[in-house]
Amino acid sequence: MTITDDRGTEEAGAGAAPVAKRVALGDVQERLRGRKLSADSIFRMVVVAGLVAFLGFYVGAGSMLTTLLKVAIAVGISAAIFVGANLLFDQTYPRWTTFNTAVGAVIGFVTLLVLDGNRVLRELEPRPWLWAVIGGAALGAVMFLLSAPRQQVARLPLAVVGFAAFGALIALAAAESVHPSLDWGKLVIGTVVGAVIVGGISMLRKRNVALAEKGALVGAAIGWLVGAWGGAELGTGSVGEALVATVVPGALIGLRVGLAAEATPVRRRAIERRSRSWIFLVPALTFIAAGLVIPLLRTIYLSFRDRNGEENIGFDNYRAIFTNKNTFNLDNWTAFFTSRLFWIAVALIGVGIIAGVAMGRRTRRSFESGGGSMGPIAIGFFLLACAVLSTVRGTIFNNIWWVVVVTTLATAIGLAVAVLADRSKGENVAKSLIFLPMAISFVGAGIIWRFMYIARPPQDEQTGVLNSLWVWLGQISTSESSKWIAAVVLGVVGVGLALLALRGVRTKAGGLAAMSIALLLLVGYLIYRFLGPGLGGFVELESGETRAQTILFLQEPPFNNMWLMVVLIWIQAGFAMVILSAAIKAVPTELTEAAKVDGATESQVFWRVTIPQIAPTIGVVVTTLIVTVMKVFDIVKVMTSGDFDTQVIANEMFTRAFGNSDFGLGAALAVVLFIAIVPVMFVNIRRMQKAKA
Amino acid sequence: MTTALVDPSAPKTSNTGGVYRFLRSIPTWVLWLLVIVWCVPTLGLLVNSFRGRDAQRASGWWSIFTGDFDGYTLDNYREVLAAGAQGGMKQGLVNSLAISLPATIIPIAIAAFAAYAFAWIDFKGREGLFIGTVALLAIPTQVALIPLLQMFVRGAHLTIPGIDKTVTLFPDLDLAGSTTAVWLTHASFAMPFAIFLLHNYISSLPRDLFEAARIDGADHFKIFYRLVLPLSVPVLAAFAIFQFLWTWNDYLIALVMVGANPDALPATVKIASQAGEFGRLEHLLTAGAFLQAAVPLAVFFLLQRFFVRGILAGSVKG
Repeated sequence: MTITDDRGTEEAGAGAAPVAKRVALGDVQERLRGRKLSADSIFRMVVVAGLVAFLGFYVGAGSMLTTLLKVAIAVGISAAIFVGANLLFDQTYPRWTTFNTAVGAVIGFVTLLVLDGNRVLRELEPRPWLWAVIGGAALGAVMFLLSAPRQQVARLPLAVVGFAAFGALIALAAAESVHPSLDWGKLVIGTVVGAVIVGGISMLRKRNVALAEKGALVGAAIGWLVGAWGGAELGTGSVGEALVATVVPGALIGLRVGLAAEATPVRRRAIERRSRSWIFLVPALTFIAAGLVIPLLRTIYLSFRDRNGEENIGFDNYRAIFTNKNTFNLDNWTAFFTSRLFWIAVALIGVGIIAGVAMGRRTRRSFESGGGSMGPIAIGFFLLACAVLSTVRGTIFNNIWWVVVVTTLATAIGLAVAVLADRSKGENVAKSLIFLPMAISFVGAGIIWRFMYIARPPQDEQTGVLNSLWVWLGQISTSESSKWIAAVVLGVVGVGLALLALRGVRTKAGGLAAMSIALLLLVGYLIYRFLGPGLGGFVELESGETRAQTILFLQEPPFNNMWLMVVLIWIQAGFAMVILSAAIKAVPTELTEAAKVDGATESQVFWRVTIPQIAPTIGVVVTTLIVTVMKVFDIVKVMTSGDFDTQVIANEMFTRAFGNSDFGLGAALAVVLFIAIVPVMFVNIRRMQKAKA
Repeated sequence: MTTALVDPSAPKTSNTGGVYRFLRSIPTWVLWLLVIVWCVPTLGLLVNSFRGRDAQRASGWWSIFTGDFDGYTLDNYREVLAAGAQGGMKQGLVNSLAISLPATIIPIAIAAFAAYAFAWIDFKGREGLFIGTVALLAIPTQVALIPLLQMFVRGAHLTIPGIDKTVTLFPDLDLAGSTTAVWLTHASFAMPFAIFLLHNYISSLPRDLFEAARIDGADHFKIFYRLVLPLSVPVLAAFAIFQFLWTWNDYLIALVMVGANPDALPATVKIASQAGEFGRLEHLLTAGAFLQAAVPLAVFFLLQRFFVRGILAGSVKG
């Protein structure tokens, strides 16, 4: 149970070079030859088979088997297509005829398969595949014949006739319900427009006027098809008209194929080389286009439409988001100036500035940034943000609050643990345990913390850790004897802190002094509460007796939001810790040693050497966290469902779109979330480009 | 004493030396305090999952430290696992597996091809396409959910504007409410990250390797599966573990895609819906949550090196 992050980063992140260099170049040939089935691989297969058998026995062979079968089929089909495509293009150079035939067969097969899938072809009895097989055979045969004669003179008429025949096949196969009654006007317009557009594009792309006519041929074919089928009324025409609609574009395409330059070996090589990148890329790009890009565009489109996507309603959905008091409410903003948090924050910032200037007088700078000055200022600004975000309410501000608090605290705690654990005993165990929540799902974490926050009726025993502690504090501060014991214990701690503060001032360690004084103030406040008004969960009844009182962590706005954020901080601090720890270990020791030799204190080394060195990594952690926090959903959904003023955008989007079936508003909320993340995207790209350069 | 003199800030007398030694150990104490705080929530869940309903309500789980061992039982687990009971976690775990396995294997294979092409095949527009792909890394899942769900429910049809004819782009394969819909969605969303991660690694393999292979007459396909794949095992494993845990722990996509079909719900959705009725079944919730977390925790403890690597590799600049 150890985290070996230093080596881990090197191998997986920064570069593979160390691994790869271990592979001697002589090894290449052996690897290329492939491996035989060894005892080792057989052993592994047996282990996997055993595991599968165990799962099948335990969870039910049926469901396990169907699952595995589905996976195997999906993987098998993808692998077959990929390997097949590679093998196909392997033939380009050595066997031009085979290659052409295969390409023709595939195109014919797919064309008729798609047409059949759209139900425009006649019913054939054994319906699946048959039309596709016929189409594949037909176009395959055409291409086979075409690749026989090398001279253009012989090829041109052959191509025109062959492709026209393929067009005729489609026309004859088309069901009567789609026979078009041609509209000649639209047909001509379509053809001309198609020819001009595609011809123009190919001319511009290659900057070659001669290519325009070839492009124009393809464009005319496409335009003819669109004009003939799209511009006409379907189902009222005759077979003849269907033939006109397909044979002519077939002939046009044939003309284009026939005009193609002779397939010299050089050209074949070029085709082979260029095709390769597309074989490797197309599967991934298909997934990205179909699963990400097109849905994203459609979501943007839907966000301007009504709840069923039927009518265009302009910006109404967005207006609804920003005028609804539940999502965007600024009414209470004046309360901000009277809130306690605000004044504490202002005081802290003031203290930080004073400390910075005072320390700066010694080092002859106008402002000294170190633990003693930057600490209070950072905490002050953090509290200031919390003060603002707890007074202005609404879903959007909740989201911003989440981002500010979770990103800041998770990074800070992660950094603190990374620094504290560095070179200390049991470092790896400590880091592992902090990191452990990363393995738990957000849903699971939400449930775990509901048990932490649970509040039983006051007369019962508290079974949630936090309320139990709270009630226990209340019991101490209401009992005469234990209240004094607590005060004395705190007093001892206070004396210790005072000594520390003194030492900090004497050795001019600003951070130490500031932290001890802050803690001292806290201890003093606790002593005051214990002896004075009391502390913890209790209420005094009129009879003078006291009774336990719990905190409803999840139900009391606005700070129930903070209690939800704790869950995400609990999860993400480990993430920040692992990455920052690796970065700290990567800081060259020469730098820190040199600084120490020059007389820098530990804290000066940390603030002036370590922090600037790991600043880029902190940037990575922060951007990653912002993205994660921005779309927080599971925790809120499981713990409060967005009730009690804890709604966030992602949960609102889910409720609107999938609970109320208001797809327009749901899409608009998703777009808001997307826009919020766009800046992070830009930062990521910039960073990547810089890393490349 | 002689060692203490080496440190110039160390005081001269042994008496105060003890105090300062204590002070210097404070960071360690703070660290372990944090560690304990971090462990408490999980520990509480684990202990409570072995306690019956009455025991859970009568006292806090920390009573185990005071020697109170009453009411410990395996009943919670038995009840939660049983098919047909409120939950039926057994089916939930199978469904989780049915989602996570394909959602891990398929993106790996496909992304590895693409990563290789981006790294080692020269073609026009490579840079732009790669940046476009990586730009999609941070896109929130939410922006694609509505159209994807609609596509799985009734296929995708495009009505061409102007001529008013409809073309089917994606047939209605009756995927709504099936685990297939979930893993297809996961696979799409994993693609940019997978390509980015694998590209980082594959592009840093030494160029000599490829040149040597070229001289031996190997083509891209052969280089890919004989050289690049075996050499990339560490990063493939890191991504596989990351993606497996990600999909195993996912809630949102599963809820949207199969939320309406009780037979296909994965473990996360099951425990979340149990949490909805918190009061009545909370004693079972502990066991359910722990069963759901058992697989990721096992991965965490057994394969931690790869686990950490996967997370690191995605974020530390490469």
